[in-house]
Amino acid sequence: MKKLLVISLILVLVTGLCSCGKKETKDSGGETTKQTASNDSQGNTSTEVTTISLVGVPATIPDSDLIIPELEKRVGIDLDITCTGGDEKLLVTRLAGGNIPDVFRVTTLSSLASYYKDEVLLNLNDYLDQMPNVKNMFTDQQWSRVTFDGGIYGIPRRMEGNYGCWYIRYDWLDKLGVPDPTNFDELLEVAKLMTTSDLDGNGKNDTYAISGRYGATASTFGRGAFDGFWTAYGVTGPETIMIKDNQAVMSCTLPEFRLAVEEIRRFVEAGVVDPEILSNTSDSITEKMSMGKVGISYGGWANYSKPAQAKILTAVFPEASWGPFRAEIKTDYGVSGASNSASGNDAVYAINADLADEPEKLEAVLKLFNYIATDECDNLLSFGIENEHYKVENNTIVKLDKMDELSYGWGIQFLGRQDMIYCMTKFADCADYIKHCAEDVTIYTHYGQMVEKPSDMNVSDIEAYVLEQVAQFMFGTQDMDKWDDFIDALYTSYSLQDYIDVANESLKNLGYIK
Amino acid sequence: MNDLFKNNVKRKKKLIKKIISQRALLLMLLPGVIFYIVYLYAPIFTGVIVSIKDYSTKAGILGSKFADPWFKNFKFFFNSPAFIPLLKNTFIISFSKLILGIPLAIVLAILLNECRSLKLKRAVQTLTYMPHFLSWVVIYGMCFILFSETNGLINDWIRSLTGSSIPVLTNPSMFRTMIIGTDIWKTTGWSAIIYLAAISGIDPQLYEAAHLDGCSHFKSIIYITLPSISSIIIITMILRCGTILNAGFDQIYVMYNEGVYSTVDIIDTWVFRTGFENFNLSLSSAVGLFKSVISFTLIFIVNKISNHYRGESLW
Repeated sequence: MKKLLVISLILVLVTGLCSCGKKETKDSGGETTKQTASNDSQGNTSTEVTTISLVGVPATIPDSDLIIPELEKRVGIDLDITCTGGDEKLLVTRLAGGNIPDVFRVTTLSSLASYYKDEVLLNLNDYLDQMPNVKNMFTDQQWSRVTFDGGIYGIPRRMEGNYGCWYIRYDWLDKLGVPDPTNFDELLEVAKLMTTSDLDGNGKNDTYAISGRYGATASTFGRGAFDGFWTAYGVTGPETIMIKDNQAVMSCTLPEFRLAVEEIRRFVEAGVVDPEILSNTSDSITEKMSMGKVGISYGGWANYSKPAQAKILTAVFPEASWGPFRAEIKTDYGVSGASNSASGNDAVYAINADLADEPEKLEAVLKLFNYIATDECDNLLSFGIENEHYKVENNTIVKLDKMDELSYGWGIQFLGRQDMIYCMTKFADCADYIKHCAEDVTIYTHYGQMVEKPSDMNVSDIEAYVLEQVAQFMFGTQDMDKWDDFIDALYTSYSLQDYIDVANESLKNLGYIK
Repeated sequence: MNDLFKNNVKRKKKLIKKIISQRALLLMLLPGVIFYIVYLYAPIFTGVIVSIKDYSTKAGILGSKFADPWFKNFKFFFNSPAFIPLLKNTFIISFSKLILGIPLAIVLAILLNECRSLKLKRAVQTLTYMPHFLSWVVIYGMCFILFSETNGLINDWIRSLTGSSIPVLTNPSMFRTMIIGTDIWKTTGWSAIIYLAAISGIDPQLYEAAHLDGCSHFKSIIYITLPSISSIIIITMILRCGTILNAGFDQIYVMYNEGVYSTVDIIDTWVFRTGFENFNLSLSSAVGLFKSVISFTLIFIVNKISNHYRGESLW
């Protein structure tokens, strides 16, 4: 009985494994090309349309969308798009299962590097000449970011300007009769008054002047509660990599950073900082802002000044008037501004290496991207369909009412957009804020997103440890005397220096460090 | 010798006969066996293979290169400065859930059993096992509504009484209690069902006899109810020991934040962050294997102990 059981077990196992193996080879050959008979409106010719699977569109494309069908029609392909909300877990799952999409969006250059090592990405060196528009669209430095060992492995994206700055409720400031704060002492005074004066008039002591988010997700949504503090001290977020004196450093190891933490602690101890900064979500901040529980918050103009957002923020208190700080908060080390990644919104599109064996499909993909890089397609993806969403008058684009329906437009701008023209056209109501954020706000850059993660150490351990410890120092659960021990631990048990060495090397290759 | 051979042949013939006579039953068993092999045993093998390789999606499971040295992924995990805190957090959370959860479920089951009003019993039982069907996202939302420091109900009361609120959601030590507390709140009612079933299987004559002998109500619980369901308690204990390294990934992943990593970051959340989000799948497999080995060892030991002292065991 036992022997029989063993034999049957082995048999089933072997067949199981074999079928697994077979599936893999099939999958690694790429997805089958769905060759459908013509489905164009006339339906008279029967041309073959190549289907390209594209994974990672960060916005949800509604069924009523007209732009993608138009793009498909113009290029003559069929796009099978998967929206992921900007989350890369779905892509990782598909890659791990060997079910690799033809084209996919990679959110950071660090993960692009790991996919490169995994040999999933197509080397574009030989194909760039077939996409002249794409080739000319980006600078050498932008190309160098997606270059590994001499090969180009991704299509960069045009940079967007700065969106973030510190916002304050001006009607409260007027009510209190205080001038715009220009340093932290004045800001603290304002914050104390906002916290204690019951400006929302509900008779309860439930207002905290300063709110926002903290941590890895904060920067993604542009709500980093402490970005104003960091930048005022000339540093960026705790776990980010900066360049100081031509050397890569982790922000939290700088002496100025400690000063910024002490400054925040002063605010926390004064009871003016929302204790829930660690657990806030983007929605909960908006709610607090509209309920009159917050007076100062860091965010992007899109979060506060877009008509739809402004409507929410004034729903309860119609007199609420949110606006960017008119004066900057200054210290000896810097001015409050924004901290942005040097790579901008560093998502890039990459192509499946297996397409090298499928010339027909590859040609379609190259054609697609080459078309996306034209001005004609730029208008389509940025503004929609002519005479439907926009019209052209005197060579400039004029918005029509229907353009407001394209709220998902940012998600399908595969190669980015001409940011200033786009924002000023689409969100003309916010022109002042857009200009302010792009031109007046001082920007501090960080570079961690562009550092290739070393394979023999765990960078996310370091980042998690830094975020956690800094939170404890800021909120007073950890004594400031322990700060030096924390920095020491980074170097001794987390081997931070090894990571910094890698960062120096990466950034030297990219030309940020001379 | 000859006898032995004959015996063997006889036995084989008997076996074949038996198989033929029960072929319908065996055939019915086959889908189950195949299911287990394909979905539970084959993954073990692939998991072991992937954990000692540098898994590359391109090359597949069998084609990927072996890690150099083969224990590289294990070493990476053990050498990680987060390893000790992770293990500590996992054990603390898991043990607390086990040590507090099981007795509470038993107490609840006994109380429900003693309840004389059928309506009340039903109402209480429904109310206590209801949370089992809520997802962690919903429960987190409820916690937020209750404990939020700006507009949470409970914190509002506390603030109006004492003047300051308590940072349940962001303070590392309070948050761990919160994780354990919510888990117990969610699971106690549900796990009480199994004990309740066991209690209802106890022969009522035992209680009657004890009552006649002047045994009090409380004493009958101690001397009849508990000993009668002890085997169920032990079996659930043994089974729970097998999942001791699963401290509740879905719960913690939904609820935690950067400020409380030091006390609630567990092996699974770490693996998810480093293995999955950073595309290091071999590492995930290695940690998975490590967890399985520890769990199996624990089950084995606990089972042995139970067998030795009580004569009750899983196998």
